[in-house]
Amino acid sequence: MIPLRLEPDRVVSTVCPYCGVGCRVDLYVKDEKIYRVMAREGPPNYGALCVKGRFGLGFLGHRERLKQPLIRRRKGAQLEPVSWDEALDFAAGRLSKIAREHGPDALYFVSSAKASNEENYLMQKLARAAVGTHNVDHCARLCHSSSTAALSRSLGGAAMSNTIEEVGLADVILVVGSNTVETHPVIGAMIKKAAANGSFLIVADPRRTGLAEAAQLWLRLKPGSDAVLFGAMARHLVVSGRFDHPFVQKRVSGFREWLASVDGYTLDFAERGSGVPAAKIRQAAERYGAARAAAIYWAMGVTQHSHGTENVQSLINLALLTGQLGKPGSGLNPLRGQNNVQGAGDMGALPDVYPGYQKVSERRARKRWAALWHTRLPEGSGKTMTEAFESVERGALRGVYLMGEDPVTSEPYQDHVRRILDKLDFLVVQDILKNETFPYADVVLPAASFAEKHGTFTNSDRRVQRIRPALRPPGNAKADWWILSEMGRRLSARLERGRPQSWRYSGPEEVWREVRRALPEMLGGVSYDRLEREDLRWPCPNENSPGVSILFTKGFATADGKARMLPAPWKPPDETPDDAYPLVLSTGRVLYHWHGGTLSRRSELERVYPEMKVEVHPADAARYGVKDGESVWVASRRGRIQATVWVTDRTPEGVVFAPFHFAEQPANKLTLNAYDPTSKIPTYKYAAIRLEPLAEPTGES
Amino acid sequence: MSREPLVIDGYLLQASSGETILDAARRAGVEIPTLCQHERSGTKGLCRLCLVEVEGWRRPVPACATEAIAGMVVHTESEGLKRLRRVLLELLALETNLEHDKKAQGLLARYRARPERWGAPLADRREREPLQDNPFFAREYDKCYNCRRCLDACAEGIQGVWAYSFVGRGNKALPATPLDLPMAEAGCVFCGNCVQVCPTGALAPLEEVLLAEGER
Amino acid sequence: MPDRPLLLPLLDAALERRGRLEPADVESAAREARLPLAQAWEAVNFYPRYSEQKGKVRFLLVDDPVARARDWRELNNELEAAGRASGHEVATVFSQGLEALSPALVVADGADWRVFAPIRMADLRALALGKLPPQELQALPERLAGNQGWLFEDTEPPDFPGAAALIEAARSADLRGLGGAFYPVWRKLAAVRVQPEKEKYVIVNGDESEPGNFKDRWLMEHNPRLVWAGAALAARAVGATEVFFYVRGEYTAALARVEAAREELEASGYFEELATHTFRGGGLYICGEESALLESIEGRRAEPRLKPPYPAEAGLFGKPTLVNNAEALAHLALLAAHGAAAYKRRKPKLFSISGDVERPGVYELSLGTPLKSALESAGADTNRLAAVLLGGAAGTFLKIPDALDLPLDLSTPQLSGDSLGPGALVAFERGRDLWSVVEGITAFFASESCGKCFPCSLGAPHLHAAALRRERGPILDELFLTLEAGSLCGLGQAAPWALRSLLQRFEEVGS
Repeated sequence: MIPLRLEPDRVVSTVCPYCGVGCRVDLYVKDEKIYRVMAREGPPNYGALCVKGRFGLGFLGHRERLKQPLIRRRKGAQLEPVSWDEALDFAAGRLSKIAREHGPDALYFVSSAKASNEENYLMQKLARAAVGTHNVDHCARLCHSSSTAALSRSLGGAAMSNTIEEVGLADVILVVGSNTVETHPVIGAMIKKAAANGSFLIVADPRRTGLAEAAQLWLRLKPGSDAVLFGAMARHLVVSGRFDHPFVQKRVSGFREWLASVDGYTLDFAERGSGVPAAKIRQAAERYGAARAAAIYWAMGVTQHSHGTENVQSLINLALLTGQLGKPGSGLNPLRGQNNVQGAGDMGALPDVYPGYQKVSERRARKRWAALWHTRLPEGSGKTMTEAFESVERGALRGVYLMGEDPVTSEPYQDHVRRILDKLDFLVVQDILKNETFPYADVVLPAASFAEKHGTFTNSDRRVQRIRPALRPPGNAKADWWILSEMGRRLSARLERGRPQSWRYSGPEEVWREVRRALPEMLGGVSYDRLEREDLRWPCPNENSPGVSILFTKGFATADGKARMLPAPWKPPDETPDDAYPLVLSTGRVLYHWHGGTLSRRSELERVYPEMKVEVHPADAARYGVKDGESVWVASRRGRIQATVWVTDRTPEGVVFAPFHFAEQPANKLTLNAYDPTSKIPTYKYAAIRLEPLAEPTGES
Repeated sequence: MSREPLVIDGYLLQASSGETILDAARRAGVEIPTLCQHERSGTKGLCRLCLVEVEGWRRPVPACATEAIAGMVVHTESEGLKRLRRVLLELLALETNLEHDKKAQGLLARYRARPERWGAPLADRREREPLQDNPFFAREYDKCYNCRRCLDACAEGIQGVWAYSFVGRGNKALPATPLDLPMAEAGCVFCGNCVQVCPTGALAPLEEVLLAEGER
Repeated sequence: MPDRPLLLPLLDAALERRGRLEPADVESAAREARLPLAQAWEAVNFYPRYSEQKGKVRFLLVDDPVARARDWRELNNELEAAGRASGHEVATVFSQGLEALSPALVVADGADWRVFAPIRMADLRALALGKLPPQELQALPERLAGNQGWLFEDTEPPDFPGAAALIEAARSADLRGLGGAFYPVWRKLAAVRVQPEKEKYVIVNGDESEPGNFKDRWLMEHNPRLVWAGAALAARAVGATEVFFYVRGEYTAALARVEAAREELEASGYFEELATHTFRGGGLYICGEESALLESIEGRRAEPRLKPPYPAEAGLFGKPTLVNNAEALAHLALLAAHGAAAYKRRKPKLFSISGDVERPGVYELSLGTPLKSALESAGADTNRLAAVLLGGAAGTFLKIPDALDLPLDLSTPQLSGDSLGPGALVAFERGRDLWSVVEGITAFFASESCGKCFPCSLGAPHLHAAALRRERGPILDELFLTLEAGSLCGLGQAAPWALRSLLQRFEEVGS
């Protein structure tokens, strides 16, 4: 019995809007205010929450919520409030004009990992069916696209292979490049508890994170040296005969080629490359190799590198070698950053796949979707978001439709992004709050938040969960699914593609029915009705299926059913520190903020973490003469930002860590314009920088 | 899994091995009163309200912390237990501000408790000043009866953070922070899992406190 | 032992260095002991000495049943006056094992104590002028051993007779734990012995803190070798690797002598591979509860654990652990030295006899000795006695002469709801203020309650309030039941016994 001081008008069961854990919450509402957030018992969060979900929903009632559609009739004019019809007609007119004059590929559609499955489905349908381009993507490009790329080609599936509730079942847990206790705090706490209860926790991270402190074995690797570290671990297991020979023989291909590729990765070589003592590498390898069940969790520390795909591949190789897939407590588990990033990918908000990860390049898939949508579909892939933005300056890309995305804060090399946005002919910003991209918008469409609409989110371990409205949207704001369906109907009519009436949906459930009809093997059994009563995760092909928790128990989702080991060569970083820029910058998140800060910085969370602090090792602080609490310039070859120094040995010597949540001090102004060639993920975790005294403020460059 | 046949208040039932008397009784529809016990935080055995008698055993045992085993004959509502619970609840209500704790209020009614039988409150518990040292939740220890769920949730039970210390002894004991630091400096990560498990409202979301006070 | 230092010794070292604990000391002790700061802070707040500050002088009158029954109010008044005159704080402190020399005074400078006993009114008056009493006490005088006894003899540490033989001897001699619960020693030995773990512990419980008792203090101060010998034999019998001798925190002389004896035996090779430690206890009655004692060694608040598991299965640091009272382990050594048959003929047991007797002290008597002869061996004139507090604070008042024939064995007193406890006999002549004694006892329990379970932390202070009101109504029976049946450990369970026996057996005692 909850000791309430106020009787709620209603209690609404829904899902937390922050990270990919997908915590289930009850929102207590009185007089249109949420005054208490309680965790639900049961999976995935089992009665626990973190500060963001519990106390970070203040953005819902923030004064910068968008309440009215706005249009800018011509460049240079002011944004002016208009009716929904006028805004939608205006936007549809301009978008269709660009499509007619420059071709559909001159438009780009940025979907959102914060929006629901239904909305992501509609966004990619808008691009593909109504406009006729595969130019659609979402922010996972910036976080786990390298994971997706490596997992897809090796295993044929790009999601957590196992589940959150299995954390306690692993006898060895290997966490790589994930500050889990701050970025996925509920899972972080579960891992800590498992470690306290006897699981052997290995943490590979340059930073002394909360989890590193709780670990039995901490591998403080140099930033970007993952592939050599895990390559050497795997090689050591092979040469010492400690790998799962039957598993490799029966279920894996490419072993020999892979083995040849790690030929030189001795423990000593890896020590030189990664900075981790050989004895520790050996211990980690042997512990992992001897485990009954060993699980790997990883996040941005692995993926956000120009060789992110290789880094992930090195983890996949390790798991395949030891047979740590397809059984409880094992697996390859990328921790997803956004509430519905899994769903955004599942729903095909990607340039190369339709919903359900069906490749756009495959004829069968194209025919199938063309039939479902009653229209022709292009053959080649769309561009990735990072690539597309590069093409603006060449004039190839002219119009962008952003849903819940703020590229000025989140994209790398920020000044470049501002120039690109300035160059666009037409920009639609559909969002719940004013953000940094807002000044560049030609049309602003005010959206309803997660707490103001129905729909489904899919969390990091493939669990599909219902969200429900607790509040009315502010002003004239509308749910994204409604806006997209209205836009779809208009574009479909203007561009004469498909049937405009197929865009009339009674609500998200009708959209979801369309998704389930289109993806029966994956989601056929996941109905709104069942979600009221049951916990379901995909694949769930029919009404009687309970859903599948552990993937790959029998075969892999590849052509021959075998998983592929692939060489994952270690490459040196793109930019190395030198005399001019002697330090390495790594960017990331902190507990109290989230992504671009759009949500978290408009809540009470801002009060405990109001300013940008960069972590500087005590030795570096002494060397470069900066003090704790001092304000400095952090400068790279691309720009500089002001930040407060936090002298701490959390960060290793030679590395400065900066959170990227602060739009006014954007860490991404400093980062490289370098990408992983396979996944196009930007390098956020490695750039050469220096610290400069604030003494002579020269203004921003 | 082995089944353990036992009798609780005359009902013959099967407990699964490892199950507590409390859980076995609940499944049989016998509601043994509890205050401190919490599955998630792992708290148990402190409030002693769930004490039950097992035939042949010398002392009553806490149902929440005692495994149900084959052949037990358990009594959950003997006259002695009723009297014990009544006194416990009376002293609790005398010393603690239970205004938001509906569960305790229900138990006070169920056991016909009359706290005034014990005269004036002794301790300083009711005079404790509210603490407001963070922007997220309020700490009002006049309402706290030391069930320690908050401490357990913060430490081993859920979060693994150890931002709370239990200080003092006897009836002067209460949850506090290490070195009496403000929550933020005590290593608190403001997950609020302490608020989640608090049964008395001693820990409450600030939003709720402010909204409730605004109404008054 | 885990490869990290224990918290309490680290805190003690810091306290010793600086005279008080600063936050930085707590932080560094927590770091060294690899414990969360929150847990170190709990310990600092729990154990009284860590709140002391050097330079802060206090006069502490020792509150024990003997002092309580006599001129308690006058002593307090006199001390108050001395405090006012000298500007020092005045307070009371519970029994220091000095009942045989009562009344006693502690002059505390922070955590450093000087003890004076017995004191007179004149001494308190002199205190006001800055003069300390002349009769400063380091340890209990050896002469307090009031008769001849095996336990008083400095026996050569006996050879280990083998595990099976030792356990069998303990069984056939029916050796029991002697802290008050009388659990058969052989059962504990056997239970720990069968545990398969490599690491096991033996703990000597020397945390004698129950008012009325001081026999363990005498043993630790004057015959610690015998206790160590018993502990070492027990350790070898159960296959333990380490022994901790947990000495009551305030007993500084006992600590020093236990440690000296340890060093001597260590040097002589008696311990062989066994690691041995003298551990300074937390300084609270609850530390004597066996599982609370383990918690305190581990650096936590000394709070009793929920059982099962029992220490024999999961004790110190989760390892199988034998915990026995100091006297019981001394008996184990005697058993090995003299053989079970001789031991059984003698059935020795130490008694702490104090109050209105001619020669208060520690007596070795045979179990089963009638109360009358026990009292008389200490020179009591039983004709003048009205009551005897049997066991100690967690004991009961026996009415004299009704109880004079009661045999002092382990089982007979239990028939009437009494218990030998650790073996205290506090004698009261007619005219002594038994209500005042009960006020002291209930104050003791209210103050020593750890705060873990609700019945004790709420009930003990209400019991004390009732005693202060000299309450007699039937509502008290409900409180007695709540404490006795409801409390988690023996502290709360036994708290009402003295008051209840007073009300039941001494109707004439005025309220």
